[in-house]
Amino acid sequence: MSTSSLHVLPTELLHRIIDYIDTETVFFSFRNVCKHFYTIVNTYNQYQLDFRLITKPKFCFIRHFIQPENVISLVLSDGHKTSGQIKLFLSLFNISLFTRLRSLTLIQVSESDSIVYLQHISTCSLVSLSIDYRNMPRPITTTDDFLSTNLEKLRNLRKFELSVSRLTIDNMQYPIQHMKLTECILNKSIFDILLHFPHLETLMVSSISTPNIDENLATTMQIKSKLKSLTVEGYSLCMNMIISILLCTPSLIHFKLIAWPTMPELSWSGRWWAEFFQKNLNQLKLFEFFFNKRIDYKETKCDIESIIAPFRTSFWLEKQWYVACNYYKNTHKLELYSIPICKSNISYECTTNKISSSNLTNDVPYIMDNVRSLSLDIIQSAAIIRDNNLLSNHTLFSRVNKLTLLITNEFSNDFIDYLLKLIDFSQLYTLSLTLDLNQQSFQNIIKIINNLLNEAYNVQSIKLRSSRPAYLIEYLQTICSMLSNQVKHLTVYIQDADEMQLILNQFENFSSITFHSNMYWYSKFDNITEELRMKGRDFIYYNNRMYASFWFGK
Amino acid sequence: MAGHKIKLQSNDGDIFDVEVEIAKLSITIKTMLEDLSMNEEEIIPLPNINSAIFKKVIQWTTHHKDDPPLPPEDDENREKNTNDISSWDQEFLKVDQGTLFELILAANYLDIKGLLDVTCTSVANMIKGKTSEEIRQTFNIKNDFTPQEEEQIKKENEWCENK
Repeated sequence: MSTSSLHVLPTELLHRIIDYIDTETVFFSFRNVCKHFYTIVNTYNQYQLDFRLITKPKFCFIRHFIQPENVISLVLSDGHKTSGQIKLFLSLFNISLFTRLRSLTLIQVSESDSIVYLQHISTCSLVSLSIDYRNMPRPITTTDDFLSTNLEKLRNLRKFELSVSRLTIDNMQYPIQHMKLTECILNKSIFDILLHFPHLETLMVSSISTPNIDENLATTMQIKSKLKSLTVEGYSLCMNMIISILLCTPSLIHFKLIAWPTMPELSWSGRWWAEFFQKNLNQLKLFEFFFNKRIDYKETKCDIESIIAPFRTSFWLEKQWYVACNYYKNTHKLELYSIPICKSNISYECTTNKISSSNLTNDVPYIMDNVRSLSLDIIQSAAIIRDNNLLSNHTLFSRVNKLTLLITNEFSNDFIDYLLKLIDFSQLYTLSLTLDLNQQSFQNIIKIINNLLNEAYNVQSIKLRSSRPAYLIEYLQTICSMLSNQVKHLTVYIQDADEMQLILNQFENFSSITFHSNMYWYSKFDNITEELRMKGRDFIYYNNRMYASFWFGK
Repeated sequence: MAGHKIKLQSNDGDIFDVEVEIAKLSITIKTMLEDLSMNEEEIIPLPNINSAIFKKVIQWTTHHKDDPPLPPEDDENREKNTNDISSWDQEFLKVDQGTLFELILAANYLDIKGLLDVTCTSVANMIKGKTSEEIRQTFNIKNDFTPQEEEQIKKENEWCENK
């Protein structure tokens, strides 16, 4: 075999590689490498366009190359980095021409925009639909009926994700195999989901509201679901309900439970779970969980050992289901979780504050591999020194892309060194900083931010807030002068519309600027946008009474 | 039958005894054995694969023999999957570019979807986020645009990059 270079691979294989490259790189880099790649990109007909992070000029440039019939997947977002994108896309394209669209994702979409997309989308081709509403649609609206009616029409739909919405499940059988419902209000219980979605293989429910179930009815219904993966996330989850559901899902291979479950004598018992799984779920390959609760101060390390002891039996160790338990002395919080931690968002406390035990004998490097968003409070120098000795050599958080920090005058360079030991800064995409700014702390805090930014060189989005917003506005110019050109998105917490106007006038290099406030600013908002237009700024925006987000073009 | 082996011959003449269950992860070989009723005693030639690459293919298929089967694929459902590569595969793919591209060609010829996915993902990860010039340097590709074409591309990119 003589071929050993990328550009001489057959076209179908280069197309397959393009399948895995992000939209921006395909159009702005890969396409411009050589004439061959230019042609390859132009003849590609499997476009999977993801516009979540794109700048407005690039979005407007790419649109010239989009042949609707060549697009098979589309991700559009009205999130704060691309506010107004969903409506803009509607104004540029006739959605009904996307005849081969198999996957549609709308993020932070409004009710009205979602209706337009659902009205015009090709119902026979769509295999995957994901709608994340900006706000919960009002009760009994057209959207509610519209979504449910459309769900019935999408006969080839296999994957469905819905966030912040109501969902009416009718007495019919849906073909969906993979479903994720987040912060949804359902008209029927989870049992009805299992009943009306008989092809379901994956079900993820997080903070959903359902009618109470009749457990006796559930046992007589004898549902035997084909479900292979079940994720349940919620605060105060009724263990009886969980047990009833699990009894209907004998084919389960993966079960994930993130909760503050009732009946701790069952949910916190390794012995009970082992017996339950052996009796009812013998195909289960992976059990992930995260439980926490607050306990009395009197409970001590002995209690942690008694919690962990049942997880040291052969049942858990042979399956390599590793479990840890932490007790936080200062907050009296107790956590019990599988390893690696199955939550993507955690608040980390230094190791000196906690007592831990595990059924693992050695530290493993992957314990925090699922964590993407991390927040830390300030840690005192003495604790840092103690903690540094306890931390192992490898970076604990290797995949965190969002870091939330409180920066006060006490924030030291030692703390930055500690963070560098804890987190892989090269992976950080978003930095969210709460600053305790005043005239005394200003110099030190600016220095700290500068040091952080030097380490977090891949950050593209920065969020700033201060307990004294006036100081933040005063020092914002200095802070922003330290940001690299790579930082495209700024979010600021402000007091009033005058501050918004000031910031919009000062900073013209960001792709998006987002404002949060505790005050209403309706009366002045029109003047602000009018002034921007008069200055020739190209922008679209979304706003409500206490939030405004601008997406800027040229 | 577990442990039952077949003989496969690379294009440089080496013969490999491979467990049938592992060999059948290749749809091409599976088809030869099942549809074309090839005798399992016969030596099956693989004219497009040399022995060094075939050894790597066997290593990959042996490690992944118990993976759940991937859904069948047609041109219409080649959807973008996660770009995550397992740590074992990452280690496996620490090879020179020539080997990586030959693995892609081998996976394509043998029709082993999992291997094709992971090798293409690996190349895609080498491309993602890079500029055109960085891609040229990474893969040693000559820029064959005319100065006029290049100027046009530069203009387009500058227009977009200034934001």
